[in-house]
Amino acid sequence: MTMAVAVARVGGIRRRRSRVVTPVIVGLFVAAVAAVVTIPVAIIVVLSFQSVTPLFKGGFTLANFSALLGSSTTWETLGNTLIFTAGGTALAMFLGTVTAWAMTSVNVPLRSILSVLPVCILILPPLVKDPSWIILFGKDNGLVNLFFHHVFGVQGSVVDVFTMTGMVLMAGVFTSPTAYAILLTPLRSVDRSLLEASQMSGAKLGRTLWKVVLPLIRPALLSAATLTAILIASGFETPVIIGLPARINMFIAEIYESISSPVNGLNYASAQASVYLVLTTVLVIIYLRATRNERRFAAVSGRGHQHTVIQAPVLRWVLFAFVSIYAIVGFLAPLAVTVLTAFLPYYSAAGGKNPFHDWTLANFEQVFTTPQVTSAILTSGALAATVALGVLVITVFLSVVALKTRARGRRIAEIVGMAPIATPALVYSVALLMTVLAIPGLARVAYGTIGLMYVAELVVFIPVALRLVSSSVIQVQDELLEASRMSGASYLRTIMTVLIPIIRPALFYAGGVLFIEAYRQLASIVLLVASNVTLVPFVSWTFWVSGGYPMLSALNVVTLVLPLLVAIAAVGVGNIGRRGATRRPADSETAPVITRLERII
Amino acid sequence: MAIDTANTVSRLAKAGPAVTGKGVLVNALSKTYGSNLVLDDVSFEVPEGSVCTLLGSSGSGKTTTLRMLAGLERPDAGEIRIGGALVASRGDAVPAESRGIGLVFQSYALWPHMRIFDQIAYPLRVRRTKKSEIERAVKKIADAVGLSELLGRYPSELSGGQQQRVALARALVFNPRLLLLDEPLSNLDAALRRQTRTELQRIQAEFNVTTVYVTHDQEEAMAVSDQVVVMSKGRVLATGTPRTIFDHPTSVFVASFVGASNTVPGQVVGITGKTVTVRLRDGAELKGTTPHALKNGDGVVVAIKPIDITPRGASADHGNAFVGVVLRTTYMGDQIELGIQVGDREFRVPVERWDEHKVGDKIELLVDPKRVSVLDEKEE
Repeated sequence: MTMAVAVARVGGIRRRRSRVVTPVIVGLFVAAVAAVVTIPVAIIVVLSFQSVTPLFKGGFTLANFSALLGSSTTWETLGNTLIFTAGGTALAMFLGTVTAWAMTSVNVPLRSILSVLPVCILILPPLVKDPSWIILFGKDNGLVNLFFHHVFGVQGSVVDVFTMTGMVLMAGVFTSPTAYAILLTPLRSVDRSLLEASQMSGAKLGRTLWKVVLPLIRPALLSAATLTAILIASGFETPVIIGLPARINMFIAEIYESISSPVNGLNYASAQASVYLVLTTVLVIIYLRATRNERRFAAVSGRGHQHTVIQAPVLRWVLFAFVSIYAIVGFLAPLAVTVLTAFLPYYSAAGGKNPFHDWTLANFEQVFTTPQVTSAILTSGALAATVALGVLVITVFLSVVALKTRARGRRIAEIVGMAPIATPALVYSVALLMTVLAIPGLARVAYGTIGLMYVAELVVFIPVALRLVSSSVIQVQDELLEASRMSGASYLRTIMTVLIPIIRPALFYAGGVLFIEAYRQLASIVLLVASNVTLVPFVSWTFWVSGGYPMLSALNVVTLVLPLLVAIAAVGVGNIGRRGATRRPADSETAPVITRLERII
Repeated sequence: MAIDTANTVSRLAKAGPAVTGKGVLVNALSKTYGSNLVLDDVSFEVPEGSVCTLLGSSGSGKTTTLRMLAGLERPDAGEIRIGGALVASRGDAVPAESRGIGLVFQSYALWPHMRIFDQIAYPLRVRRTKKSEIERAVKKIADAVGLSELLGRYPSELSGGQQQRVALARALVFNPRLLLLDEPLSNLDAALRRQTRTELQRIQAEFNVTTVYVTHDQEEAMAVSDQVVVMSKGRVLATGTPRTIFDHPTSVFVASFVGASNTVPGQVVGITGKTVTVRLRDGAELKGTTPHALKNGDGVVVAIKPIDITPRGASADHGNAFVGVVLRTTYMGDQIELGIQVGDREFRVPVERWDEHKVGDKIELLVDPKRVSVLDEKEE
């Protein structure tokens, strides 16, 4: 007789069936998510060693790799990618760190407004950023160059976005909000006494910053830097929109080209994707190692913690100017350009003429009357809502398994959830596409369907959602869940009646963020788009490619406003009847964003 | 049943009073985390309706033991019986939710999103109790702990003491077979702690529920328990009534931990009946009593509680005196504490607040031999 049965019988206590069934269900679920995440990636790796698309047909070959690694283009584009990523990361870290410090630790004027603006950059749709910078900082006819020409009589171009410098600036500015958001919390939790101790030892401000503040937040700096690098290396819009016309080719743009016009064959594209995966995986490993040390933050903030804001009469204005320029370049100017051009019949600054005349509402009329566009708006909304819901279910499950159980192999749940960061959205969509093409019979069912796009978005958003959800799950003290079990409740009941209600605001917030992101996300669907389905990001993309800039702007304004309203409504619902002054703000990078966005709303 | 006939059956169960009904029997529990032995052969029993305190400093294993009783941790070895039924045994355990045990967490663990009524009703709802019955039971327990006015509130709107009573009500509402309290008073201020302690005793007696109470505060342990289990480094060092533990410590650790005894090493030089004469290193001789079987020449430690020492002239003379030099005098308001060098140790001795001894004074101290514990230096 086994021990379990003996205990049960002697104890005379009803044993729950769930003790046997639950681990099996948990295991199957984690395995299913793991399969969707890893199988397509495994398939492109296999295909990169084949010469034909069907899986395990025609033998293995190294021809793709020898062609790829023997080509000078490969090394040139990898070099460009390296410069682009390193430069962009350095700039993003500089902007993010200085701004986060200014907003948390110095009495900069108008901090309550300024501190929100960098976060607003995240709200801009992907096809606002690059096109608006072309309008603003383009060579010859860019608005900034025209301004210098007309006001100061400068001949030639002062700025030019179609250069490596331009691309690095762009990547740095547009990914800096992530670094900023990650650094806000640790900077805000640096205890006043630690700074005062340095000051009492005779150190000036600069030395205190360098020797005390930066070392204290080092784990956060490292995790912010690697996450920023991953985002830049995964981004496909700037390399395609700016890089291709400027003839500064990035590796990811090569992958895009290889799939959209496969001259070298799909197996060659698979080899390219595999090489890129190796590089991003290295970055992710560094990132995971960095975040493992993030827990040391606990030492930074403790009981009786007090934060202080430095009163600096001159520095506050210097930082005010710095953050203002950053906010204008990164958010206000792109927003203004988008909104203004949306009311123009056409856009042209050729010959230095003022492009802003003949205002019209025709673009919006067209957006809302063209059946293809209206159906795209509805389909994107429905897709984004289901993606958000699906991702939430998956990530709540994964984080509960990883953080609130002692199940064997619970770390696997966490790894499965974080793995997709290593796969840039474009690369994962390539993998998914190749999977469909490589398995005989699958193409007929899945190729060009909305289901395929759904899977692609689902996987791409799991890591983001996991960070948002798990940071709130981890805050729920174990004792709150144990108290429920001591009351006799099963695990499932404990999750539904205790855990979910406590993290409800965070869930609705995460749902809102996911909805906005999924609504306009382009990279994971641009190669998968179905013939009979249109989505907003794809329509925007065709508007851009065909040169209809005012139409793109009008659609962008709609893309900016509609999902934002939905998300605000979601966060509002999440907060109805919200209770508990005992709850402290989340100690993750998302917390300040949550609290701030909530304050605005 | 294989389990009952095996020699795992407790020697305690054979020797001590039979544990029946809702009593608890803990036998030879062990637990390791990695290479860290957190529980080592822990055994004790709690008769039905009584209060047993696990007393120890942090890291002593008292909370781990409590969590095993609750079902939140599993023992690597040993067994736990509640009311005669086996609930945990070597790596296997009835899950917490099936044990029917009430636990009051140190942090209270109140759910921030639920009103007080719902918190208390929760265990009953889980048990699918009828709605009218829930109303009645919650009201009854709320009256008993003095929460009737607060049932519509949220935890964040309650004071620490009120939150504590909610946690207690939630743990008691379903008539648990055992009540576990994890440092229940540690989050309260001193005045409230005393009041709540009395309250807890009243409620425990009213519900007559078998209780296991974890604390690091020896005064608290003395006040609330029928039985105290002193733990250190994962082991049980002593078990007994508060009075036995306090008056007749069996080891140097217990003597220092309970009652904060002064200790000084010495050697046995004479034994008459229960009285042992010990020569201290400075040559002075002291009489005391011992729980151990000692013989002349044994190395021992003499333990005396500060409260039992008086300067000559202040009390009856038992002819048991020793001499020390005043090292410090600390004015504490209601009394003065003298630090007195005895051999190579400093003894703490409380004296009346008008005492006029100064640093450097020689002082003769008296102590009743019955209050001197002579302990084997080899005993932990």
